[in-house]
Amino acid sequence: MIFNTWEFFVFVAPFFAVYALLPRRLRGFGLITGGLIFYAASGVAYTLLIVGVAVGTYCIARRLARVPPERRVERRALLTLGILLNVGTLVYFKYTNFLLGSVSPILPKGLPHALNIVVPLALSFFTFEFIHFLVDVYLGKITLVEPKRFFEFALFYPTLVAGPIKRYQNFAPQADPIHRPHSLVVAAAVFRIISGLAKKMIIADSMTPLTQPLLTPSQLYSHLDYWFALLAYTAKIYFDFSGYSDIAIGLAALMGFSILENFEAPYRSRNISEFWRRWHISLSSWIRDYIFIPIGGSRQSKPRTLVNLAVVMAIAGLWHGAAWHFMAWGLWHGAGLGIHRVWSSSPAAALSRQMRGIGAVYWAVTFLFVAFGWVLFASPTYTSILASFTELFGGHAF
Amino acid sequence: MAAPASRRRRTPWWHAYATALAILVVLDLALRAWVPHPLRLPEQFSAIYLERYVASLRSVHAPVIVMGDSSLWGYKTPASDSAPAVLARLLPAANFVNLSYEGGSPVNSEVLLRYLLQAGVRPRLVVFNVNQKEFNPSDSAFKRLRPSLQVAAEQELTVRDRAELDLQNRSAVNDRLSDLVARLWALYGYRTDLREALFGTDDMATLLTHVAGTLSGYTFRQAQAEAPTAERFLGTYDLTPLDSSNISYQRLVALAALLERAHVPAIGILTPTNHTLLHDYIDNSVYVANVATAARMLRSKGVTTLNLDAAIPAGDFIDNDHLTSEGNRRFAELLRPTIEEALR
Repeated sequence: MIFNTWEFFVFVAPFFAVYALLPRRLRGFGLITGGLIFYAASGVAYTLLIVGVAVGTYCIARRLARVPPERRVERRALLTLGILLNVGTLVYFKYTNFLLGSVSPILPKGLPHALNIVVPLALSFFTFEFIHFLVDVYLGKITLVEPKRFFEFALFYPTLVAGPIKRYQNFAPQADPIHRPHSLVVAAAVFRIISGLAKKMIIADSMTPLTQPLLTPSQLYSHLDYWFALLAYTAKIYFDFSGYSDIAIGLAALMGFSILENFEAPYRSRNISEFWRRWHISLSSWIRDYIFIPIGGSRQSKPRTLVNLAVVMAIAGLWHGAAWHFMAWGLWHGAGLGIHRVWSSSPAAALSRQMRGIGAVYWAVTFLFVAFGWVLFASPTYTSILASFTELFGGHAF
Repeated sequence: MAAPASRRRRTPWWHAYATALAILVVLDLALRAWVPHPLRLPEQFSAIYLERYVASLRSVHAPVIVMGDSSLWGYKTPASDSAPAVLARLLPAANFVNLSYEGGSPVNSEVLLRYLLQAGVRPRLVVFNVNQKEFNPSDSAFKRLRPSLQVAAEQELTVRDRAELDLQNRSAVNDRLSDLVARLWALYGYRTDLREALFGTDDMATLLTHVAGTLSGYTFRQAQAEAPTAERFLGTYDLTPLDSSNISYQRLVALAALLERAHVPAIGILTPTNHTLLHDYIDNSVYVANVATAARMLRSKGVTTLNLDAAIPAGDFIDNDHLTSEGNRRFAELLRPTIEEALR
């Protein structure tokens, strides 16, 4: 169910009417039931899948929480099992056809080059939330694991479709008990939902036709059209995604939950590291905590750190979609982060900081870097990526 | 000063909701009373607007109803330049009501006439066009009913209509709910009509695309790339002999029969077509025979038939069958004597 549809309105209006009347002790069950209905609207079979993965994750986490730290092998085995359950589900549903398509030229005849698989709604989001839960139980950051609380967390529908990716430690205390929001919070939440809908439906959707040159380059478009498309896509993706996050955060606030912000004026960033602290914050912090730091982060040698950055950003790219151009987008940002890391520790960077107006230059470079990255994200094929870049830089692709 | 302050504090919380509701109710009543009679239907007219417009026609004295497709609606010309609007100026005594629209066809005209008659509208004269391209099964309007007409005339749709025509599937919760809310809440029901009345047909996306396209020259290059050439209209006209197996033609026969049964005088126009552009595709015996078949059938049902198929010079066309403002004026001049005669 998508937020800006009638189906969602039909669901959410009676949901809030019932939720507001529920006594405090039953609101948690209201959340779980609401989540199940919300998810079932996209397919009952996939509801069973999310419930199945959630039950599996919960059972493993519960066992993990009970195994004493000295039994390290058992704990590691349980964590591996839990991660395999989640990553395996994600890979099977989201990446099987991508992988088959990528190796199809070398596949023997008779083997299928694609399977009839539909990606379940929000699979990427709940997989990351479940992995966070398992890892934090393993690390002892989450100790008390109540089934009801976990399922409230897992099936919390405002963040189910497009995040923000929640953290259990932030969510669980707010569910114990669930407070009725203050009238000022309600007013702010309603405003947030309306502004989110406006961002999505008025601004982002209006940009869509302008982005066409990046999606289907053609000789009819001039260099200026490609630049308009670049700026339009840069605006569209921000307003679309942050609008959706606004709606999710507003809905959560109406239910009595404060969800972490996902965007913080990312296009104002003056370097690419700052951009990733402001853009899709819940994802970038998840990647930092659960991939970048575990593989060594920045504590190792400089070359190794740069490789780590490239690896995590490639994974972040593939998380957005099962296609090579998403990975290219991730690597682009990985390269940007690496260059920034090298630059920021160089004497030239220290000197440049003393120059007047350098902030504007930093901002412009960062903005253009991010905007060019969107070409890789938006253009579906390498041919269209090449054509778009050629045209953007004054060449003729046709 | 304390007493008024405490009174303010005691104001019940539901006052704000009641005030908001009252404003909505007043707005709703005002909108329900607002049924403009424009020179032609809005481009994106809603079912609710069509319902109210048709209901309001009951009180119009002896209307001359114009039904048909975009060539009568006045595609790519201002509403005041469309042929029916020109006719309304030429014949001020006649009450012209232009109910043609883009995507009109014999199928649409036949259902619309049934709906009008059922709604109690008694036309003094019906003027409709017959466009040969709409007898082509690959034409988008061949057997497709305009969704807003489908919703407005739902009660009139027979089992045969539902089996034969391309109808929009409105069984989804979304559609049902949308229809219900549109009936209950005029502001929602009229949203497309209101937007068009206030801001024209362009939404923000169209406007932005137009501005960017004009600045970059894309609009010009696209217009050049899409300039009408004969090849672009290859396959627009189905050159198989017209007979009763053609659903669109069946509906034209039904339209003529309904007019005859209802004793409504009617003029059927064989739509002006750009013969210079389409020479290679339509100047052949099958096309000529199909035009003659339609004309013969209409005359046999008592419909005054005006064959304007080759009556307008190529310079007055935008493309294969849409006229420029000058072409519309010429079209109206050609129609005028026949309409005057019919109204006499």
